[in-house]
Amino acid sequence: MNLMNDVYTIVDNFPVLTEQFKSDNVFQSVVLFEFLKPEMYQELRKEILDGSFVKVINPIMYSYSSQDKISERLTNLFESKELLLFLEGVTEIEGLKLNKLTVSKYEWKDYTVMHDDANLEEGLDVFIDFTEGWDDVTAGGQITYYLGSDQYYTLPIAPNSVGIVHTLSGYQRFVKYVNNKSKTFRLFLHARYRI
Amino acid sequence: MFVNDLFNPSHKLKVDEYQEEYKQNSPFPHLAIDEFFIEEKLDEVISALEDEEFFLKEADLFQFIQTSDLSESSNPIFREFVSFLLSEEFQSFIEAITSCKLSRKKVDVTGNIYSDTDYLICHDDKLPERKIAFIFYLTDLKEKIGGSLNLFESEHSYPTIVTKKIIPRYNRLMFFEVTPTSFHEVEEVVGEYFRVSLTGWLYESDE
Repeated sequence: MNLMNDVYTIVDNFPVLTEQFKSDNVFQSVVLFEFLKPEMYQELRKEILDGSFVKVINPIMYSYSSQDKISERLTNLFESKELLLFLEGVTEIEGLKLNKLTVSKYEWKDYTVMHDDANLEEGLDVFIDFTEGWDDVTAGGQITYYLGSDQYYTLPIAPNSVGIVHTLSGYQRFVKYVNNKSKTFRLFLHARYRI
Repeated sequence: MFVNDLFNPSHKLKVDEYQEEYKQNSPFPHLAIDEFFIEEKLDEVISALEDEEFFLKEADLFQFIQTSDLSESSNPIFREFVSFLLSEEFQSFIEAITSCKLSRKKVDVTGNIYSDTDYLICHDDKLPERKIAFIFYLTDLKEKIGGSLNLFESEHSYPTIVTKKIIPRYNRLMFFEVTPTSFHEVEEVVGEYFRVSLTGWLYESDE
């Protein structure tokens, strides 16, 4: 399918990535850059932006835009053998099943807050970042995990990066408020896998 | 000093008017009173605040800087200010307007500064025994700068849209009863401006 850059398709490279993924005893995660082949990244980004977005607002919980319909092609990509082999190889978690696929856009004044009713279960989060021109790191918009006891982990914002996070029961996740320093919009694809 | 001298005496004569206005205000009962304090007294508080240490408060819901609880401050200006907040004079004034019975024993109050990009997302303030939320504004801001206190209409106990904006004005007191539907937010400050306030809660009487 030629989805990912070659370096991520070579099975012999997986142990190094696994080591990074498991380097933190508490929070298993890895962020990889230049993840998709450049032409695939551009193609998917265009496909996503050509789709229609719906603004969803619940002031005490979230404000963002979500793609109302995910294409079959995108779903197939995230259920593909190529990607599952990669994810299971790097995480050493077997039997991943795609549970949910969403595409989200965050602009100025958008956010998602943590909520007791939205605690995560064990699973695997995969975020592919399509955000471009996010030059000011103080603009907000970071995907952040809260593990309890004041422990926060934040995924960096970079185009064509993938964040892979093994979530445990009770983790919470939020997207930091996007402030007036943002010159463009956050765009990412989130695949949630059941373990 | 404060207990007898801080409070602009003209307000005491307007309790009935304020009570009516408080009840009528929407989306939930609240009141903003301008020129609340005698200015030179308030300026003493502002000077004292300049000597306090502020700490960054940052989470999913907010970003701003805040002092420690001033009710535990050793600074004599804040001790007197807190005495004022707990005084019969102030508490009975608020009780008369809101019809809430308040504790004379407990108050939370902190100094807060919102600068460029700071915000507080919509929430209801609801915690056990918190009865009245109050804000003493210490700076003026124009509406386009942000920093307004936005009040939300609610439906089926969920906030829907902002229907009222309280703009920060020097020497303005704003307060409302904390209820499950007192949804509010502080709009992000945009630009090199400072929204400075003393903010806190009065508590429910346990008698």
